Amino acid sequence: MDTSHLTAAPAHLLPAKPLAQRAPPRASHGAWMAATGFLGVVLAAVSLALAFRTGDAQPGVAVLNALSVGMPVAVGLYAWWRQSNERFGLLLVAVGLAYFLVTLAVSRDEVIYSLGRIAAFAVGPLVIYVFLTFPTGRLESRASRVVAAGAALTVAVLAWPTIPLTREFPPYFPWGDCTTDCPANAFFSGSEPGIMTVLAPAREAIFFVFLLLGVAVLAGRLRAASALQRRTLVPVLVVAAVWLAALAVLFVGRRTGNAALTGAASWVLLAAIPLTAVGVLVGMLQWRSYAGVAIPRLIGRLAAHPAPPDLRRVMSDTLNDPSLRIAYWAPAAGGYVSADGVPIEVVPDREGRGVTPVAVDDRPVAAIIHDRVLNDHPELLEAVAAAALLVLDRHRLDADLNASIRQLRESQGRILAAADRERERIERNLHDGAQQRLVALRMKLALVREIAGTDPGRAAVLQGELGRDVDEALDEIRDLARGVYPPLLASGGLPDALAAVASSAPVPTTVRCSTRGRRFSREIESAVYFCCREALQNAGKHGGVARRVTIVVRPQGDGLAFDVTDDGDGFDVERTGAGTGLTNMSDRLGALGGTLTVDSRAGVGTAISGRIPLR
Amino acid sequence: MDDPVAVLTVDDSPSFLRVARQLIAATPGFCSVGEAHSGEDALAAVELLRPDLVLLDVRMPAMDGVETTRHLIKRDPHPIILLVSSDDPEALRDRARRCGAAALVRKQELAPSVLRRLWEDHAGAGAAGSERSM
Repeated sequence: MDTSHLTAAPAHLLPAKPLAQRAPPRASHGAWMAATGFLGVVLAAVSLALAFRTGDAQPGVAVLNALSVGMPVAVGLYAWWRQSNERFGLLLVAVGLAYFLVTLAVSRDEVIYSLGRIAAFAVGPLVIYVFLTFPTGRLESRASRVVAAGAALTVAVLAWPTIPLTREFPPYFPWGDCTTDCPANAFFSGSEPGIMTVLAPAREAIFFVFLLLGVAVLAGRLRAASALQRRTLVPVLVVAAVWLAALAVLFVGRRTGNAALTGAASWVLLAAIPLTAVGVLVGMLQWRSYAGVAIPRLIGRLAAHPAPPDLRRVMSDTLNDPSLRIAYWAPAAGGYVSADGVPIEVVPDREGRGVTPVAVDDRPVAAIIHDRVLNDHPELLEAVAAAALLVLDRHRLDADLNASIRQLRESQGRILAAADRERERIERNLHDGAQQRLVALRMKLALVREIAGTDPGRAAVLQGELGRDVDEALDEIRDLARGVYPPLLASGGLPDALAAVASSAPVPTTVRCSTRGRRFSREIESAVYFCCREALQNAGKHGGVARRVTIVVRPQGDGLAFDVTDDGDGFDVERTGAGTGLTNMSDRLGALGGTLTVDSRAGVGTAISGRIPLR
Repeated sequence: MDDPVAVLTVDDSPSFLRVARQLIAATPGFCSVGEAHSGEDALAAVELLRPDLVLLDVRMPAMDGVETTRHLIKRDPHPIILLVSSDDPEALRDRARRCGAAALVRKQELAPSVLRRLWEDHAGAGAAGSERSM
């Protein structure tokens, strides 16, 4: 079925670069990764060295600090290399490298220690940012943006500007190894206003509130998440809750001077960053090892060439996404359809859906519509798509066929409905027109007969009208017949019939028919005649100030073609869609294997063209 | 009858209205007081013109003759309502009987004598809805 009379699929529905052609990391990226890795190792070593140089270093603190530099860098690089959660990976790298500054606080040197303490203020907001942007590396919701901004502002406004005004930094610092005997603030200006005694606790309380809000935002995300998303979010929420609790204990211990409390909280906070990095790594590896098991299993189940519903279930099980759907590319429908040929709208990023196109070279085959979480695991999607390619391609053919059949049925339905409407119209016209006239005629005859004796004058008058009444009835019937199938078309063919239509058209119309007396089948001539007539009527009704209409009918190749052009206002083909008139024309031509093209430009005019091949 | 019988003709077909006018004019003792083209217009015309007899076409768009009859009888049982049809009346007879019209007649059979007979049958019988001629 020739479908060129359908508008082409919008660009966003055409598949993007298929998975198999995803580019590997560029060579220059490799150099950056190596450099970053090297830097991470260097900084971790330096922080270790710094810690042990002070003599009374606590080994545990030193090692955990070094790990807090090295592990986020290592895991972040791994994520970057694997192209999975790339942005988040880069964030981890940045956090690891920046954390080096915090480890300076093990020094006994006042300046270095102070630098470390100053940097340490940023740890809190950074950690909150990391939690809120997992796993994409972006702050997705307004609430998360507010919380992150609030935490950052708390430090920017209530911590850093106050540094010159405080003699000593707050005690019980988790990431250093001094407790109450820490060096003084090297950047102290000399005067400490009274408000400082209130400021530090207030700051801690405010920051704690923002952390609490951050946990609430995460909990909200969890509640709104799909089953698949929840699996990745739950560990993050747990770690964030642990941070929250540990920080609370630290702040309380700090204010009450309770060393046991602060000590316990400190160990937890020290270990948190390395543990979080490990958690992220385990999560990534989990997906990879899962793929190693699930893909062979998938291939086994695909060997039986499952039917579309079974294929969907198999892929859904493999990807652990109950919401997974498969859409097949059907040129017949100009877009994606379900296995039954029903059109599906495929729009990525709507309601947390991701779309993965599947293609062979440049030929689109299908699109997998899945939970967005899977976007972070392209290698898994790639493997599943590659394994199922053969089966998907086969189903695509069926889906395309089903879409064609559906469209054909719909077109047939419309044609039958149009035929019914036509019959009703004829019956109505016959009844209201010719039949009424004949009934009136009959009544008049009876009347004349009855009053002929008693009122001859009136009877004679009535009798005289009878001839005219019959003529009018005849005209009515003739007009109706012309509307059904014009006698001119039967006898003289398209040139004569179209000339008659043109002569009675509201807009000046020229007809150029180059068929040179050649006749075509009744269906073809009828289709061309009625399409031209409909197009002409449209030009008169919707053409605005059309000055001229031209109808051209000519043989084209091994078929018959027509063009109806007007110079009116034009109309927006996309927006008006197919009005009933255009659909009728399209159906008529389609039923004969022909095509319809509509081209309209505002202010220029409209051209309606059709072509019918000869059998 | 001293006063002529006032007749209101209701039909959406101009052909029938024309010939009905001529028919009523040729029937002694009858005169046409008005014409209406739809059921809606008929309701207003009856209230305004107070006819004695209404010739009412069955097949009309929007409100058809049967429904118009029901409304008319509810408002004012005085005028006698004759339903007319160009189609086969047998199919309509049940509905026509139930709605309260006095009679159902084929348009083709209408003639001065027929009109007079119908009037005498039903005006003499009094209220509309007499079963005799149905």
